Amino acid sequence: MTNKKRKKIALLFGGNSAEHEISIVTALQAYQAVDPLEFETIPVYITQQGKWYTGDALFKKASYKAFDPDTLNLKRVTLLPEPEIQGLLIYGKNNKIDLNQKIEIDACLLCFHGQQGEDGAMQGLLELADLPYTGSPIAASALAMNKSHCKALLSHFGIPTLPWTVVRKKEAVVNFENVIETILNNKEMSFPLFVKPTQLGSSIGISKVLNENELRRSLAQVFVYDNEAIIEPCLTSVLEINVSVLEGHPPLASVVETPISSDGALSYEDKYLRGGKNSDVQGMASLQRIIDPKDLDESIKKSVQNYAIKGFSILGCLGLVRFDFMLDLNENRLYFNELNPIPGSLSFYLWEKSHPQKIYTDLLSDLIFMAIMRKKENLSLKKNLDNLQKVITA
Amino acid sequence: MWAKAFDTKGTLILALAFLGRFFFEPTFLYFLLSSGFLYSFFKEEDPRVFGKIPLKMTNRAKRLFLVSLSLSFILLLSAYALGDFFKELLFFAFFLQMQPLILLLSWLFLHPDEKRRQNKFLRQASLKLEKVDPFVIGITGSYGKTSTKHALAHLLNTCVGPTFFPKGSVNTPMGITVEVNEKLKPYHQFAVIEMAAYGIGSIRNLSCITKPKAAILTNIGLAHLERFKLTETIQKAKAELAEALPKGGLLVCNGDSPLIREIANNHRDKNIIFYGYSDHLGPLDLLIEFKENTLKGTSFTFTWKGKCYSGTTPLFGKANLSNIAASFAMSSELGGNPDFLMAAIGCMEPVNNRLEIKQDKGVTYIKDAYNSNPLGFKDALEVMEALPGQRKFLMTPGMIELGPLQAHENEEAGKRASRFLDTALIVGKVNREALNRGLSSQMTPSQVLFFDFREEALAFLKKEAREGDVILLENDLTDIYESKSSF
Repeated sequence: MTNKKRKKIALLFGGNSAEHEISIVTALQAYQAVDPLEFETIPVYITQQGKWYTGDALFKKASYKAFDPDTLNLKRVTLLPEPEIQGLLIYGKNNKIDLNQKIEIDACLLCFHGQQGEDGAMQGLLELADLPYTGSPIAASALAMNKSHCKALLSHFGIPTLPWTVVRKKEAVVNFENVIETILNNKEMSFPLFVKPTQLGSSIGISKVLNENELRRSLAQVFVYDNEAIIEPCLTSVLEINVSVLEGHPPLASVVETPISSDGALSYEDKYLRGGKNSDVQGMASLQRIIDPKDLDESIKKSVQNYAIKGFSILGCLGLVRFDFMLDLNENRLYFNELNPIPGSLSFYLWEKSHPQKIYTDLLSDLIFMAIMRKKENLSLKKNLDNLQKVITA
Repeated sequence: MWAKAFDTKGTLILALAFLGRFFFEPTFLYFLLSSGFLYSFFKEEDPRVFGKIPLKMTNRAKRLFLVSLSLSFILLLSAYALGDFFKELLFFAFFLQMQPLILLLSWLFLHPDEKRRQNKFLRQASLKLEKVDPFVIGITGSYGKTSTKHALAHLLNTCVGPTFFPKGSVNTPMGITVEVNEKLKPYHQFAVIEMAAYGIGSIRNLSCITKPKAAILTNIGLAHLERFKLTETIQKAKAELAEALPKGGLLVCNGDSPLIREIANNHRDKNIIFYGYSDHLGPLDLLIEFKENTLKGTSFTFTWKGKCYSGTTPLFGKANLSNIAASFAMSSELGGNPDFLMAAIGCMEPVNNRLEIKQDKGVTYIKDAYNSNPLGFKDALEVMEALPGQRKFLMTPGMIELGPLQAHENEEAGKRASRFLDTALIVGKVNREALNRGLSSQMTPSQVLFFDFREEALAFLKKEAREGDVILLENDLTDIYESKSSF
C-alpha cells in the first residue's frame, strides 16, 4: 500500500486527569500495535495544562520524564469544533493559529483514561469537529464513568449490584459529622466498606475502611480527587472477574480474567507499579492475572459475559469496554462493580486469549474502522428541519 | 562537575601554537588551533547534561548565550587587527580567561531588556490577580514555608474551596509571576503564596504584587544567617509580610517562637492566632500535643477553640506537625469544618524530600534531602530514633549558610546523632571536620565514613543496606560544593 492510501489516525492521549500517566502507557502500547500498512499514526499528546502537541518524540517513553516541547521539537496543535476543518490546526509564530496550516485526520484513536478523555468531554469535542473516534459516544461514556449512575441504570435492568450510597463534597464541607453519622446509621453500610471516587478509575483514591476513623480519612482522600464519593459494603471473601466487550451485532465478550491483588482489592500500585520496572510491559497488561481460569465455574463465566453484553447494550456503549464484576465466594453471587469505557491497555491481553482470538493489531483496526463506519452512517441523518425561516418570520 | 581555577586546555593549545610558530607557517598553525579548540570544546562537560540540576536552556539562557557568543566573536575578529601572530596568541589567551567576564558583560548588556520583560510579566500577573481576586494567603519563615504551603493548599482545596498555589518551592517574584500567569484560574477562591526573603524588601515587593489578606509566620531561625548576618535582620525581613496585611487581616503565628511573637505584638491591629506546643511564651489559640511517630505517621491532638481533636497524619516530625497546625488554624478561620480538616490531615502527602519516608525492599529511607537547618535536622534525627530498625545510617553533607554558627551547629547535630547511630556517612568536605567532631563524641572512627561525592555514598548504601535498616538522607548540596577541583 502506498502512503496515500493509508488512513491518518490521530492517537489522542494524556489530558488533565488523575490517570494521565496511565494514558501515556496505553497510548505507547497501542502505537506499537497499530497496523502501519493501513494507518499512519499521528501522536497527539495533551498535557495536564491542556496544551496539545504532536511530534515523533511522543512515541518515546523517555520524552515524558522531563517533558519539554522545545527540546523534543514538538508542534503545538489544537482541534476546533468546526466540521469543515477535518484535522488539527498548527500553532505558528507568536502562538497564532493559521487555518491553512493543518494536519488532516481521518479518525481518532482514543487512549485517554479518567476525566475529560473518558467521560464524554473529548467525545463531545470530536462530535462537534465531526471526526470519527473510537469507543463509546458521549452519553454512554458519561454514564459509564459515573459509578453511581451506572449502577443505578444497570440494576434497574436486572444486573445485580451491591448496595451503595453517595456522599457529596458539598455536604461534607457544610457538616462533616452529619455525613459520617448518616453513613453509620445506614443499615446497608456496615464495616468493612469500600470508599471510592465516583468518577475516577485505575483504583485511584479507593480505600477499604474498617472503622469510623478510616472512613473519615478515606472520604477526605476521595474529596482530593472528586466531588462525590461512592460507598459500598466490602465483600469479605471475593473474587474479581473482568471481561471485555467489543461492539458487534451482537456485541462480543472476551474471555474473563481474575486479576491477583495484594490485598483483596486491586490498588493503583497493583495495576500500574508492580512488575513494571523490570519488564517491557506496563500498565494493566503487566498486572498479575489468570486469563480464562480453568477452575472457575463455566456458569459463572457465562453469567459474567452475559451481564456484560447486556450492560453494553443498555448503556449504548460502542467500541471496546471492560466490565468489572465481583463474585461473593461465600454466597456464590455475582455483582457488577464498575465499567471502564476506555480500559487500560485497551484490554488487548484478554482478546489475545479469546475465541476467536483477536490480536492487538486487528483489534485496533476493527475499532478504527468501526468508528469510521459510524461516522458514515451518521451522515445520512437529517440535522435540521428547514424551519428557520418559519421561526424567524413567525 | 569540575571547578577550575582558570582555563587550561585552551591555554595549553595556545602555548603549543606559540612554540610551533618557530617551525610552521601561521596559516597551518591557525588550522591546528581551530582543530585543537574544536576538540577541547567537545571534551568539555555539557552543563545541559551533567550536574544534579542540569542547565535548562530557557529563552533567557539562550539570549545570554547568543550575546556572549556575539561578543566573543567581535573580540576574536578584533584580534586580527593586531597583525602579529604572537600578539594575537597573547590576546587569545587573555580572551579565554576572560570568558566568565564576557558572560557578566552580556548579562549587563541584556539587563535593561530583561528588566523590561520581567516588569511586563509582573504587570500581567498583578492584573490577573486583581481580576481573579482570590483570597491571598502569604507564608513566610526561616523554614517550613513549602511544607506549610502544601499543607494549607491541601486543606483548603479539600475542605473549603478551589485553591491556587505555586508547586514545589517557587517563592521568588519571577517564579510566582510565571505560576500566576500560567496557572491561576478565574474560579480560584484562594491563593497560597510562599514568600522567601532574599534581603530586606523582598517580601514587601512580593506583597505589592500579590496583596495578601492573611499570613502565616512559621518561625525565625538560623537558616540563611550567612546572608542576613543577624537574626534580627531575618526577623525584620519576615515582618514585612505582617506589615503588608490590611487592618484586621488574619495573622497566624508560631507561638513557640519569641521573635515571631515580637512581630505579632507589633501588629496588634491584625487578627492574630497563635499556635504551638507550649504556652510558656504566651497564650495559644491552638495547642499541639505530639503523641508518637510510627512507620505509618504521626499521631497528635489539637486543642482548638476549647475542643480537643485527635488525629493522625502520614507526615513525620514535630516541625511538620507545627506546619500542619498552622494550616489547620488558617483553614478553620477561613470556614473549614474542623472535623473535615482533621480527616483531610489524615490523607496529606509529604512534600518531596522533606522528611519523606519510603520503604524499599525492607529498608526504610527517610528522605530529608531538600535542605537542612538545625531544627529540621534535629527533627529528622528524632524521627529516625523513634522508628524501629536493625541498624541506623545517616548520610549527610551537613548544613550550610549558617555563617559563624555553621561549625557549631553541625557539631551539635553530630553529637545528637552519635547517641543512637550505627554508621554515619559524611559527604563532601564543607562540614567534614565539624560533623566528625560531633559524631566522635559517642561513635568510634570505624563508624564514621567519609565520601567526597554523594554518588559514592549512595553506592555504598546500596551495597550495604539490609532489610530492617533505617537510612536518613539529610540535605543535599548543590554541585559547586562537590565539584572536583582541577588545575
